[in-house]
Amino acid sequence: MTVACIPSARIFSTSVSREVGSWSTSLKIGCALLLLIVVSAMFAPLIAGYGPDFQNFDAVLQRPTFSHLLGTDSLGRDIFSRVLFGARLDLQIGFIATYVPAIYGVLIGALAGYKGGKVDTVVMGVLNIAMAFPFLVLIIGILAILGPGIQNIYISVFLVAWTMYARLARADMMVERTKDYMTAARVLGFPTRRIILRHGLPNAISSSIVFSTSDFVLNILLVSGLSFLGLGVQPPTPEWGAMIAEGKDFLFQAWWICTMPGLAVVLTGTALSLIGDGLAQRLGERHHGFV
Amino acid sequence: MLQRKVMIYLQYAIKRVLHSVPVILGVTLFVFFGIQCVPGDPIRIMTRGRITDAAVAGIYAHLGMNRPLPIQYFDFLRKAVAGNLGESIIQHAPVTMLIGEKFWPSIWLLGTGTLFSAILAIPLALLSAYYRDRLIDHAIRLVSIFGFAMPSFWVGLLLILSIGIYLGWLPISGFGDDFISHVRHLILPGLTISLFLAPILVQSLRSSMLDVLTADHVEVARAKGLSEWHILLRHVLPNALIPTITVLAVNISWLLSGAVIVEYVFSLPGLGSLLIHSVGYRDYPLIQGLSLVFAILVVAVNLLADLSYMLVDPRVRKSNP
Amino acid sequence: MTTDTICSGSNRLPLLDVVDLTVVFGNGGRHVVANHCVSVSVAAGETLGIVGESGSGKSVFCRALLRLLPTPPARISARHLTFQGQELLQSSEREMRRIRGQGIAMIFQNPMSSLNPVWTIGDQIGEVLRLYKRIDRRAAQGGAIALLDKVGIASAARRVNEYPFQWSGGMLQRAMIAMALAGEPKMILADEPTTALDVTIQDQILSLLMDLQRETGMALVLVSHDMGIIAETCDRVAVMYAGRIVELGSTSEIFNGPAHPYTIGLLNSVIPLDRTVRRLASIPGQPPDLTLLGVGCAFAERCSLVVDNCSKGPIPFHQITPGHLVACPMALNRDQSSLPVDKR
Repeated sequence: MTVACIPSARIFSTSVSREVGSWSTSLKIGCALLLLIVVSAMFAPLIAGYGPDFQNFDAVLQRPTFSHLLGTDSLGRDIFSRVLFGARLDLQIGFIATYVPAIYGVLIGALAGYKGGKVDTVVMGVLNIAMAFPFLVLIIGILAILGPGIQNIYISVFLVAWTMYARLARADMMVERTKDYMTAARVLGFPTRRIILRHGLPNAISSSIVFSTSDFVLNILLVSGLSFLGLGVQPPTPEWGAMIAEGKDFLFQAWWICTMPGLAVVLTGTALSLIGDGLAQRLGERHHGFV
Repeated sequence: MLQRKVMIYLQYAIKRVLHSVPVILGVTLFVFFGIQCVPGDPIRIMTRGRITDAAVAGIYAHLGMNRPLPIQYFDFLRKAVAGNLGESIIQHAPVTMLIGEKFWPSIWLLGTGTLFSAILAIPLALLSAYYRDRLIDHAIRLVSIFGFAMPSFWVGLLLILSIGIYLGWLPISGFGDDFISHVRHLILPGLTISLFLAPILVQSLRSSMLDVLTADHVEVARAKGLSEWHILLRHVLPNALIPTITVLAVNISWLLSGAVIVEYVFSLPGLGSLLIHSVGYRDYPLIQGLSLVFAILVVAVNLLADLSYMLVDPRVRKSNP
Repeated sequence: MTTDTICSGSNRLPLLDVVDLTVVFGNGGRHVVANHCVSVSVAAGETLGIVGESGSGKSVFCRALLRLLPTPPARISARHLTFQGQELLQSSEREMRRIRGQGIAMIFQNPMSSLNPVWTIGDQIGEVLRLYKRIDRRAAQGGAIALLDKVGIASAARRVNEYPFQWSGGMLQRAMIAMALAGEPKMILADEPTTALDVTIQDQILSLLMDLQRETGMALVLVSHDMGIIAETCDRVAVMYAGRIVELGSTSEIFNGPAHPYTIGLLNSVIPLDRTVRRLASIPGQPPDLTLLGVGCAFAERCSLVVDNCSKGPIPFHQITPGHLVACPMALNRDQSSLPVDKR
């Protein structure tokens, strides 16, 4: 019975086309752009002219031409193809690194916000400590200890990334807790789990959803940054950050090796931020910026 | 009168510092015991495994590292309070000295980055708020989004390429020897950081300013005959800075992270590069000392933010006698 | 109707002359006609009261005069909107800024939020002084102290450096009045200046306004939904309903011989203090949706005197006596004694 349940969650709407029509321009552009990127990544083997590892020593360090749309790198690999295949990796890692911690982060935060008391104190204490530490520093530390690689990136991200979601969900839940429909649910005798999950949470996740788009961008930046430092994806796997690192030494002669992957990051990040902006408007959130 | 003000600030500062101590302790605890759970140890890494177990045990006994962990931890704390953070296993030098050498470049970088960000962000946010929903506003927001999505290392490399190499105007690595040289070396790195931080500030400031613009006292100011720019600068901006300081303080973690990468790209001899080295070599005392310093930095920034609230908002001042 | 007949038979040229002011909010689909053909005038030294319920358009009117409404959503038009002979709708933004504060000053409803919380009171008053006099901060401070003194703030010299959160509502409203006086305006618009204050303070603030007005010879436009306040303080009264003026006249005319059914209803619904009433009189129905107003009388559906013509077309003003106008054709016809009017 969801009578006293969802006063303000308008995520579930009636007709799809009417919904999409009401979107703001930034949301539309962002979604279109992201769709383009995701589709390109998915169909990379079809779109790319060359395999990502195909080396052609006759075409080393070539400028962008028709046959190599974004040029080639020091091993003669086509950069356009590598960017496309790199998209798969970056998007995948970004997605998992964002939404997996988001899930348990929101749950922990919602629990702390709803229950208050000792649970809340403990969670706040852990949050404070976790946030007193620069994110990247912690991850570098963990990675350097465990060794580089995608698996270990996931481990380190899962350890720390949940904190922001916990904070947001906790704050929102504390606001929702005081509202009448929550009291009504309590009076009706619903178990806590149900109250939080089905009544409170749908209304308390708006800011987390909006933040997740910025987080996605930050995670892509994080992954590429770690790969750039040599702590992330290992060569020869194509990944945007790793490609920028590879191009670093040829900055002067072949600037495109560095620039193109970076542009890919910027494009993806822009699409995600536009979506975040549009979502914020759509959900009626006070969007105070990216983070 | 001035003395009383200083006293108020001091009392407030001390109160906040005391509150942060448990957090700092928590961090050191976490790092201390966390590192111990790790495979590989510094001696074997340094000697590439070409050392007997007996010799390793002997070295550790000499360094006092074979005692029970809690005792080692309290020993660490005891010495830390006295200012002694131990000695680096790899570099055979006091940790405090090693950190001290690399401390100032990092601080300079952070300061320069924040300064450039503020210089960029405030005018852009003002323009955005004044010309709200017009072309300039949309353009600024779009540029902000671009800036936010740009990886700092990529921006750094591009700046090195364009301004450093092609135009040859500014140095691209190192820190320099004297004040002027420091400044010249910090321009590009500072700019790199600001290209990441400024968008966050612009968005936050713009949002706060738009909030303030709907307040009653702004309408009253207009009814007084003040010009829109005067109102924006003197009545909206100061009020809007308050929540933005919060945003800045909350994001300090990201700022420090970004600084680490920028230090690497521009070969600045700062704490970031020290950290990367020490972690690679499992140099426990150094890692511990560094994490302590980082935690203190974050706390210090938050404290600064709190103090600046007192400066800007009189309501905070009066309620903290 | 010419402006001369609207003015209460005096030959003074009106300080403020408004003819057919119309304010419409809306972009695209829905339009809210917040003010429709509002015409009043105010002479120098006169006190005009504007009375009406919430949503009647009184506050919009004040803001429209000073052009404080943001003009993308709002559209302001009028046949005349002159202040001291200057057409306000033709004036540039710069000229309007000069008029705001120095020609016409405004006092707002909520003193607690009307002052900037991070500025001192003295600085905010001084700001107005420094706007048109080339004085430095110290001199402005002195001026602020003098003004605070004038509005009855004790120990003004000490308190001038305090912040709004340290003052009570009544004191803040006095500060607002001081701020309004700083520009030496010819007219003050007071938008519900006492609504947010305690009753005892209300009286003080009103007396203050009256005293200041007598001293300086300013005109005062007092907007309120409180009939008592209007009756005590105003020379002339305009009754507003659904964005239109329905009756206009001197205070005694309006209160002793109200003509418009709405005015009568308003006066009847005031609870008497000198005797008990079994039933509270109220006007049946609800104020209309301002997006759905037709051409006829806005009060038609709640009116007991309504006839078919009322909804057919715009209702012109009818004159009962020179200076007493009513927007109701039925008002003239009926005998004044046949409608139950509660005299106070």
